Amino acid sequence: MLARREIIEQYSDRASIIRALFLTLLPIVLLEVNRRQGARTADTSLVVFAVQAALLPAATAINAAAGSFAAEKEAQTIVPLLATPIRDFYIVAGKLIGVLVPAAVLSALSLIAFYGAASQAFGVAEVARVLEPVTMAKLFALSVFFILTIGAWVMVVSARAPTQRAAQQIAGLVLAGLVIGVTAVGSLVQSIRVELVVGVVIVVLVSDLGALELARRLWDREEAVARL
Amino acid sequence: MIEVRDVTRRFGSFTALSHASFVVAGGEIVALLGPNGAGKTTASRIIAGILAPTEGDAMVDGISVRDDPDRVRGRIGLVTDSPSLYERMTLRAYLVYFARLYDVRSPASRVAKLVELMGLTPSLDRKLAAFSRGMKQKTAIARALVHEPPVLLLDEPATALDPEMTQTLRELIVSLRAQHRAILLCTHDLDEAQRISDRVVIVDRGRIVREAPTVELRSGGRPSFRAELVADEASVRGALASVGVTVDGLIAQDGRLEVRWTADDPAETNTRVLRGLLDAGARVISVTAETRSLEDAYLAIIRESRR
Repeated sequence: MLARREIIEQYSDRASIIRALFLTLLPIVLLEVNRRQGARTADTSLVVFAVQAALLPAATAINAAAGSFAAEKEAQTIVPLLATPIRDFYIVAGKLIGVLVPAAVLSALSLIAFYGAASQAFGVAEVARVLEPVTMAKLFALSVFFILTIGAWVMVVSARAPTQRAAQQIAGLVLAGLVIGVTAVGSLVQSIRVELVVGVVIVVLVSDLGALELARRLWDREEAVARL
Repeated sequence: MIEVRDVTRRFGSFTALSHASFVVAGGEIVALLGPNGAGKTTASRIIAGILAPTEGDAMVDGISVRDDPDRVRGRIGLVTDSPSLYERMTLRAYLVYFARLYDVRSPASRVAKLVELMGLTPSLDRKLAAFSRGMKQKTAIARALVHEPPVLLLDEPATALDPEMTQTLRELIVSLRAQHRAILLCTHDLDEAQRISDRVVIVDRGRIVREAPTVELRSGGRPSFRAELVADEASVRGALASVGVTVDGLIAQDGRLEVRWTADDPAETNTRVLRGLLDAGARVISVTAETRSLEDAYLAIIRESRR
């Protein structure tokens, strides 16, 4: 219920929808530009575009996570929420799900749309050869971890930042670090043994859980209220 | 219903509330008065279970805010000066959302009753962003009542409301008292407090400086009376002295005398005063009990506390 309200709140303004659409369509546009310039497809470039298709829509999670606590503190809507008998854990979890689910859905849609557009441009057989179902599933899994990581760490920022704008600015810096990390993970997915990839995923997951616990501790009920 | 026991709250080196104790019984409206930054909101947030006391404890409906803040929150309705609504939601969706957070059994029927009580039924499916300030505050009150809490904390609920809406709100608060709810009204609107509160707790710089029934506070502690007479000044002084009453003030104007005295036991003292005056040949035009406005009393108490 908390997550559903969070999603409605985050995506009920036009700017959020336009941003989400832009990030979803951008990889397809880049692909089309690439094709019109006469470039013939290469395995690597298709994979790179597919990685973009998976991760760019996931970046919508930054805005959503940055607004999760900071915007509520700014609007003081957090006070009635804190006055309810809901435990802190559920509030943080609800907000995280509200960040995770729409971004993951957008990422999945973007991958599907990209796959369709790429098949149209370079031929079904060629794209099916490079982007096997397993590869697409890995890319989607990567985007989910990316969103989870963004959500967890940006929520740490949002829990402490006094305003949504400040949270977004600091979150941008957090993102820069994450992009480097995720790019490294992305390359591992393609070239390194499965056990190592699984190991990296577990490390990321553990760090995300740590971030969520940190967010819960940093954002405690009275800290949020005392700052209003 | 609310019992604040020696509560202190510090934020770093700043003490927002220091050793505060007071009680609000069921069916009672207590006004928590004080200047800005006095500690009223801190007190209400501690009672609401969203801010832990540094020392002491507060009991709500017999439950300690230290031991079980979640259950305390389930028994309190909180209204703040800002409605703080999710403005993209409709009124219906908003109230049903909070009803579910409070685990209300039949949210839809409860919401229907509340919006009818608040006169908001025609706006049930409108977005809250389109509401006037008064309608938003009504919505905030409906939200606070959605789980039928036995305790209400109203923190400046009438801020920015027009006089008509303020009166409606006042009537609503009084009707909630009739339902035996304990109501703590944090405000610096002394007129509002004077009109509806049964008792007053005055807090200044984090300390409670006075707690008394509103009537007692306005009477200045010792009831005071004023009589308007047609009489000779000397005979009036003599008459009052003969019945053992000290004159606090006596003004002669336009052939009339205005005399003031205080009485611990008005029924006894005033009877003697009137008998003495009549025996002295005075003609009595009027006798009135003198009261201070709550504002006068409040300012005097605040001045005294800062000496």
